[in-house]
Amino acid sequence: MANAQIVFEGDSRSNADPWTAAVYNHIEPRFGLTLGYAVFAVSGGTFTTLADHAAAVDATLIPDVANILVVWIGVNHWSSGGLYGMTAEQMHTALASYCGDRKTAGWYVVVCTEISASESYLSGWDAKYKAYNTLIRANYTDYADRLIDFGANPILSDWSTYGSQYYWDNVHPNVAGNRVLASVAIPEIIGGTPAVVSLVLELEALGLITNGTE
Amino acid sequence: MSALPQGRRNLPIGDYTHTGAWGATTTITAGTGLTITKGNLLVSAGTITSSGNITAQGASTITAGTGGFVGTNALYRPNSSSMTSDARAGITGVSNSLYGVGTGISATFSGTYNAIFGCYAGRANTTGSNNSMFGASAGVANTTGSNNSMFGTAAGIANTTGSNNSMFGNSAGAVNTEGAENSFFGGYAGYLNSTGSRNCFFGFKAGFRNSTSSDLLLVDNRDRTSAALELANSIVYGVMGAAAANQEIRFNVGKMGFFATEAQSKPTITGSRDGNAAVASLLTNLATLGLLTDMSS
Repeated sequence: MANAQIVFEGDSRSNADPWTAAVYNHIEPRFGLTLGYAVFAVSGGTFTTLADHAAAVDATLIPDVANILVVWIGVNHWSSGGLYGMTAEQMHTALASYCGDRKTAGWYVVVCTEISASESYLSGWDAKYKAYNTLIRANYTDYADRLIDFGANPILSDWSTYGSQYYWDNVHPNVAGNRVLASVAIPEIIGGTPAVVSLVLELEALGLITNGTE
Repeated sequence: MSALPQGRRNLPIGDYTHTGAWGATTTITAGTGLTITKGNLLVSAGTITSSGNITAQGASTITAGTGGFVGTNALYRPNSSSMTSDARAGITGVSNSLYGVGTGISATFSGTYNAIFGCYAGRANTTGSNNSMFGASAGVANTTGSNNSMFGTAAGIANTTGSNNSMFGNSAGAVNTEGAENSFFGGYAGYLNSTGSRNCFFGFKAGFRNSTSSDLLLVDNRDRTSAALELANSIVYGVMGAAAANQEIRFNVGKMGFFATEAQSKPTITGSRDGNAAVASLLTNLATLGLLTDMSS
């Protein structure tokens, strides 16, 4: 029986193994070898898929231990028409509803802000994600326990300058970008100095150190 | 070819006709006539009247009696410690091996233990000793330079007094005159080096533009159009010196990896230092080393 668990929910960027695994591997020593780990996030994930997964997510709750649910969702709502034409306000309302329900169910909810992406690929995304992020920052305490503010990171908020951190589509962070995601997420979940976490992860990626930190 | 010889340890090569029985003296008739005794290697037409020779026919005169040959228009010039002088006038040094037209033809060749192979290789050598020059015009201008190894056409072609150089590759160190103790490996490596010494250039056109600078280490594979760009863009640039504190090395790369880790782009560190002075100092110094970009706050 795990004495803690961490679950990721959202879309294709939320289920990217490099950063979710890095978060898990960094956090796992804090809880011992019985930390649970699951990823419900799927490629193309929207608030609809989150609603579809909700029962299954809640079913994984472990009584009397830390159940951490990391929610990062939004990018698939950028374009016009139907569900994908949601405004930033509508997106935030849906996010607040979903997270509030999970918190009520027993999760320690960690909500994430959105990140920069190519305007040529995601028309109108820049203005929308910033508006969405503003709403999250102002209100997350109403429906979540912690905030991972990816969108405030200087790299993750500027794809045009740091395109080297993205895959060819300029939407999905690549391996290097995933290290940045992890370096932002880890301190918010376990505490610590963000710059130190970033430093440790990057020096480990270069092969200069073995990360044995907790 | 007709009627191969069958006895008496003769090996004819070329057009010939064997007449008569093989015996202690066997006559082989070629187009221009050829008479041999036994134990000979024959190339083209000619006449040999003694045993144990290798001979060829051409424009050059080949001295018989000591064994060996080189083909048309080439010279074989034995020079052993048992000889006080070479058959060629002007060579007084001993234990030299000179092969090729124009090798070591200085009027005052007194150097010893040189091995020179190739048209005009070591042509001007006078007192230079212990040189190994292999390739057309390799070390052609060398006079007093010693202990050089020059391999490749025109390798060290202009070297005169420079010693202890190793130049491998076509035109490696071609312009070098007095520079010493250089190691140039690769075609045109150190090509324009003239007086620079103790340089180590590895790869095609590595250090091609350097002329007078010394103690450089460059690993490269192309012409960088200027000496300054060679330092900036060669994959490895270093300065060597007697003391470790005076040495430096730089890797001009976009990605690096250590301990068999996949190479990564230069990482950027973000996040708050939380007022931690040690973290701030560490990040600043690592950024100065070029290991990372510090964007923490």
